[in-house]
Amino acid sequence: MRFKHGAVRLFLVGSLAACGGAHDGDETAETVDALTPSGHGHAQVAAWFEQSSPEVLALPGTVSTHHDEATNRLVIGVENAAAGRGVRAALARLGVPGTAFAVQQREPIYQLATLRDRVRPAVAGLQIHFGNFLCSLGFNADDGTARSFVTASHCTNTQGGVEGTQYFQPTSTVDPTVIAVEAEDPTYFRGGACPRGRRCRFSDSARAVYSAGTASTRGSIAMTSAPNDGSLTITGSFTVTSQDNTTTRFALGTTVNKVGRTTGWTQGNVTATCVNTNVSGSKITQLCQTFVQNPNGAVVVQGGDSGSGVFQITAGNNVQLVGILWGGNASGTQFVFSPLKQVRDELGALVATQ
Amino acid sequence: MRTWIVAGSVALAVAATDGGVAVTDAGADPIRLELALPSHVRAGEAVPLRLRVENVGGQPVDLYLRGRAPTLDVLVARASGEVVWSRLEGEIIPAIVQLRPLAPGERLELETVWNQRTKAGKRVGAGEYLVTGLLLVEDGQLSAPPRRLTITAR
Repeated sequence: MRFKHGAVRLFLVGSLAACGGAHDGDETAETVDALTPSGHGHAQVAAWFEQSSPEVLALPGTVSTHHDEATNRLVIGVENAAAGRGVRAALARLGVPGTAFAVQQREPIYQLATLRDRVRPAVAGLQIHFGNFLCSLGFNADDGTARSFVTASHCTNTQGGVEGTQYFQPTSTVDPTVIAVEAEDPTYFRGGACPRGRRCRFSDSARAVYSAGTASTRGSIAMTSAPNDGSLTITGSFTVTSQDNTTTRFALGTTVNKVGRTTGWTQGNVTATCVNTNVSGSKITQLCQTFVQNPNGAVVVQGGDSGSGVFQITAGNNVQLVGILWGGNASGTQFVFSPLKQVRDELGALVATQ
Repeated sequence: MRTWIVAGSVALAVAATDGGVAVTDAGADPIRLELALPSHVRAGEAVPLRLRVENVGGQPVDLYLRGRAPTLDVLVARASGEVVWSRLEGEIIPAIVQLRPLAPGERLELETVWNQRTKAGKRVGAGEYLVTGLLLVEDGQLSAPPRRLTITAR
């Protein structure tokens, strides 16, 4: 997966080791030269390096160039055999003899983004910005033909009711393009199951429709290195292969995960289900919510994680979507999410799988 | 130049002070937190608490606050360290970040009242207590220095 972004924190990773084993034999054999001493003078090889490096690096599929002191050769890293052929042709054209260089197959080196960087196509788990607030993108979904994302209802200009909240990713300062506009955020109700004096819903969820021209990937959740390790660097992705559209009462002990812009990938176990939950500092009550804690007391939520999709890992990187995170305790050791069934009951049918 | 404040970035003195207007020694940090409260109250009397958050630097500061509105926590502990009241105990707070700029010299004030009862509703007795004000930020809390509170018998 390749991410393009214009943010401050960039990390270069990738192995410079030759990786012949990962490719078919013929292609590998063609792009790996022996690293034996060149037999040329050091100054001569250095001059060839200065002359050829800019041109070779400009060729498609070139990974790296350097003057290897141990063998006194130019060492050119390429992604594949085709790139290797292009490099050899260019060096021949520049008059560099075959005895003065070695072409080695290398893994490409990518810039890694964090959950707080600009990432396109947009995927779940990234930071989103509106007004003076930051939240997390919960999951991409199609509502009929409209490509949308779901986040928390309180991650809109006004919680409950649609007022056309404009979203940016990661912030309007980094990229002033409006990536999506709020389209659905049901109003909160009084009476019935709702306690006197309070306003209620069964899910803290809202939906925003992507702007034309903003690329997004349905069924993809950004993955960081490991659960509960605090990393925000994106190292891969989870794939949403199924949705739990029926469960409101999860079995106690069920392990669930989320990826959000503040605490990254966190994991815990369900400790309580269908809890009617007053939202601190407000008159809002969220009905029938699910509570999650990590058994080792790890921090699983902090400010900015609101809106994160909650999921269960089913096999490898495949996951089942189960809800939307919206809150937690002050110390961050407990998070609360709205079951996906209740999100769909309030927002309508959503297809979130890849 | 603008400064961003997140948890752990403010080095605060932890020595408790009695009443008055003693303030936090925030060193070179531009944000100063101070909890204001009476030094003595009678048993059963409501205790007004005010957390002041001030930009004492020369540049604007962006606070990354947790919640739709700034969220104040208060811990009241006996001299033994036993916490008898935590304002946010059992509370569920929205996990949203509010970006709150503070201009040089600008102050943010948050208020609450403690009714001298534990979260379970039991009245605490007369004695000496330490009171700490906390401001929730995106990945933790900023803390004001603890203040002493004496509850006297009626």
